[in-house]
Amino acid sequence: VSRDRDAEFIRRLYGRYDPARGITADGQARDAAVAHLAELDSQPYVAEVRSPVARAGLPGARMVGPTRRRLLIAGTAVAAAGAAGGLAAAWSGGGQAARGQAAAGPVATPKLLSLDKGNPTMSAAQVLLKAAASAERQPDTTGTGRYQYVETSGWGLVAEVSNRGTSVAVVPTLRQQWIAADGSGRLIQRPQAPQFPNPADRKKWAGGYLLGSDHAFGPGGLGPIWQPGSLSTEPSVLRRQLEKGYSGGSAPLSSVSELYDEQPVSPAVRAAILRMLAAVPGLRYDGTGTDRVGRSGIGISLETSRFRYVLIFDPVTGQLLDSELVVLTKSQLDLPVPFVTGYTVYLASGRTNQTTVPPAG
Amino acid sequence: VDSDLIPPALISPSSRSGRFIALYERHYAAVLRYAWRRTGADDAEDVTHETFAVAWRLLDQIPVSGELPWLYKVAGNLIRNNGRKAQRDSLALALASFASASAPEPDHASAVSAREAAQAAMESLGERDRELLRLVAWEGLGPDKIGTVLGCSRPAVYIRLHRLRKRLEVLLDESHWQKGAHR
Repeated sequence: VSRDRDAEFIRRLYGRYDPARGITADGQARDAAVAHLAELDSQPYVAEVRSPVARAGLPGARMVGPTRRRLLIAGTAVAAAGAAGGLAAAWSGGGQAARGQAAAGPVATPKLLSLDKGNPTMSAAQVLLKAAASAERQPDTTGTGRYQYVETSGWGLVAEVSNRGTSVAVVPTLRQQWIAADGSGRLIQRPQAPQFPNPADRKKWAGGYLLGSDHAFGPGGLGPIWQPGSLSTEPSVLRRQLEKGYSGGSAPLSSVSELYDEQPVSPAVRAAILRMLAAVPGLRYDGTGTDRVGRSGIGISLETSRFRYVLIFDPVTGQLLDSELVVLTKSQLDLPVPFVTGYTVYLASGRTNQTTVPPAG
Repeated sequence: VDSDLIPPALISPSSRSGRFIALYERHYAAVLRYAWRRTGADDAEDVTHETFAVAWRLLDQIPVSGELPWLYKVAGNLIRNNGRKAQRDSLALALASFASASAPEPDHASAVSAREAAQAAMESLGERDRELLRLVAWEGLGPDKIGTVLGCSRPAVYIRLHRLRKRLEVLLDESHWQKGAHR
């Protein structure tokens, strides 16, 4: 339009003399925002961030802080825990940073799970097929009812920014979820007592995070990704169903975690999952050991360029017990690799007609 | 690719803090540049900081479709409220940085004279026109958003832009300018 020619003319004359040309925030805007928030708001502040890893079957990360960028890898993490946990603490960066830049804080991650090598002559496929044969002989105890109930425990790394400063803690969170076929249901998230990497963080902790949540959802609110009863017991068909919408080498393992996040799994489908995994190239048998809550199981893993995905199954029932994500490559975190960035423990599941209490059994 | 960063979309948009962080991420650099052009490097960060402090208090009043013009308006008010000295400094600074901002050019002599001509022309404008010039040429805003920042209607912006163009044409030797600008 002719009228816009005036603006264009002025731009052509003066655009090149912009005194702020080349001024950027260099990706520091988020850090600046969080630091600013802490200053503006005397209330403890914690942003809830749903991590991309949640898609990979781990509970969503909740974290924030001026250290966000550095914490992120650990933040994608988050997961399960138990008495066997323990924290490996590390400091990333540190010291006083220039104004507008965030000082790095401590980062805590759970210890690597240790499995003994088991029978070294067994391959992952052999171990999985054996467990599959056992799984399909089990009685189906998933029950009946319109809601699919799943209870998991995860560890979340949380950075809290308050007027006392920034404090980092690992917060175990219990998650209880009921989903009906239409996606309605209820989700309870209950943070447990935070665990601090050091006394300084304990001292600064303002306690803003530990409120938990309990929400009822209408149709579509919670998914589901897979309709109850829709999954095939034919391993190759099942794999296509599970991996729909997934990409990347970790898909077979990630999608299994996600399925267990969502619904009770019948013995027939558990067996099919184990057979499906037995056919995945590159899968490694890690041996036997106990999961984060002390249940014994068999460990299998798959490595991509950056991560190792570990699943621990009950060799008798074929049930997934524990899902872990291990970081293999150096990141901004300055943590010694490999380190556990998150894990989920699958505690209970079943079907029920009401969302007030978990199903019996 | 910095895969360690959480995509902005994953910050809970429902919370006030989440919106504030998203606002910051989207516009921090732009507001910083806006302030830089009007106050220079020393005060730009402070103005930006204060602008977002205002944004936090008035978060619910920021129109979703016009966040940036709203922030510019606040930043502009803060700069003006800092008093006459700031305003005087603002002009001096803008002009000083103006001179050093352009990239080296092959035909140095002609580039320098073009820059000097542009600078002189800008200096001789009134503050209202200078602000209009900055919003168009440096913030790159369209008429609607300029209207929001300056508090006038879209037709009024068109009229003022047209007048500004005419003024600049008079102030500058058009043929000389064209030569310098298109080398």
